[in-house]
Amino acid sequence: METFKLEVVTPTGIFYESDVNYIKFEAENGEMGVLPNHAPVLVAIKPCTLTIEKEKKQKYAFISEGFIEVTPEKVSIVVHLADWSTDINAEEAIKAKRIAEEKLESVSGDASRKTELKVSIERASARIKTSNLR
Amino acid sequence: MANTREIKGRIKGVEGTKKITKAMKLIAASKLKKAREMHEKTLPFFKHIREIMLDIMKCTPDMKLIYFDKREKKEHRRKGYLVISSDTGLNGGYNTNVIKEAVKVIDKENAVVFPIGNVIKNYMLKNGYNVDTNFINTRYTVTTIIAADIAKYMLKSFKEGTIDELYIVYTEMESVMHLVPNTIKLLPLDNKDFKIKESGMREVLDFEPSAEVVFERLTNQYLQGVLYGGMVESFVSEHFARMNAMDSATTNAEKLSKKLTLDYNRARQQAITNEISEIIGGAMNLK
Repeated sequence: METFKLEVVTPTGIFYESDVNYIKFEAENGEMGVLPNHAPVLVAIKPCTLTIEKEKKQKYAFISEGFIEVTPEKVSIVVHLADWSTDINAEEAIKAKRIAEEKLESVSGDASRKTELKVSIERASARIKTSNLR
Repeated sequence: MANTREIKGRIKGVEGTKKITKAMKLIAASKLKKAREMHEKTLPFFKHIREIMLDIMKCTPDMKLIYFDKREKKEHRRKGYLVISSDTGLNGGYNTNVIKEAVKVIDKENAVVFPIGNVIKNYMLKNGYNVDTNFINTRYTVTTIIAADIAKYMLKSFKEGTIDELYIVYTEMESVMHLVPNTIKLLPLDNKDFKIKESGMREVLDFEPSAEVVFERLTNQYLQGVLYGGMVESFVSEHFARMNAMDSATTNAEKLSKKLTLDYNRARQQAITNEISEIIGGAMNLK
């Protein structure tokens, strides 16, 4: 099966680096998948579940907002946070989501703070979703 | 010559100080190691961000974005300066050098100073600079989250026009023995920094949702990267300076302690000699 080079980079180091068959994630306008020989593209992504398929096995990871750059040589995912589905503490994520939601209700007016909290909620939701996938 | 008890007290004091400076040196060394490791881990991320920005510039060189706006015609331009120092002293010339550099580059009249670190904050406040103390407490731990906060705040100020230019004054570690304070311009972005290499032309990229949106977001991350780099470099320099200062302090303490021990022995010897001669003198008198 044909493969392409994938790397996932975060500020705390290189999270994942390998030859894979297929990846799937969520772009701003909806779900998107990349197969080998994809046309070069630069995509802004939302916090979501990243599905990596390698040798017919699927792996799931949570990734926060960031970018995916597809070039002929490789696919780079540049995000702030990344966690394997098996490493996620679902309870904590649920708690974080609840706290963020409560805060969002009490905030009024401050638009940038609101967006911030919305992103936190999105992150937590994506975390919870990812943690259920094994 | 001082009496023996006095010298003994001083030796004790010097030994105590030596222990402290030695411990501080070790602490600085371990912090230095940690900061360096952290920096190395972060490098690939920001390298990628920069590469992606370069790619965008290659594909859409005529993009008009607020971050490239030099605002040359505007009167009363306000310049923002992020100045990084340490929170505490005892690190040789580190803070003095930063202050010297800051005083050299900052024009008091139309500048806002964003001090990071207590030493520079106190200096700036005392000397009548226009100070924004939003980030003073960010010095204890350097993380990308803090850098992100600062980047966000700065971009907002830039967009709103409260600052028209942004500089960062930090300490660069040129080589192991050479720490140099340095000033670099962060905003507005300069096309020259993203110069397109003719040879490296790549086929056209598509953007999702659009080049502008992607670039705008990247700018934030890029600024964050540069800020973080500057902060970590300053942090590493600080600990390096402290390590060196404490090392020489320890050496000096050793020297002093040696000299004092010698003095002590001499004084003791003299006291004994005095006593003996007194006894002998007394014995002679009895004869």
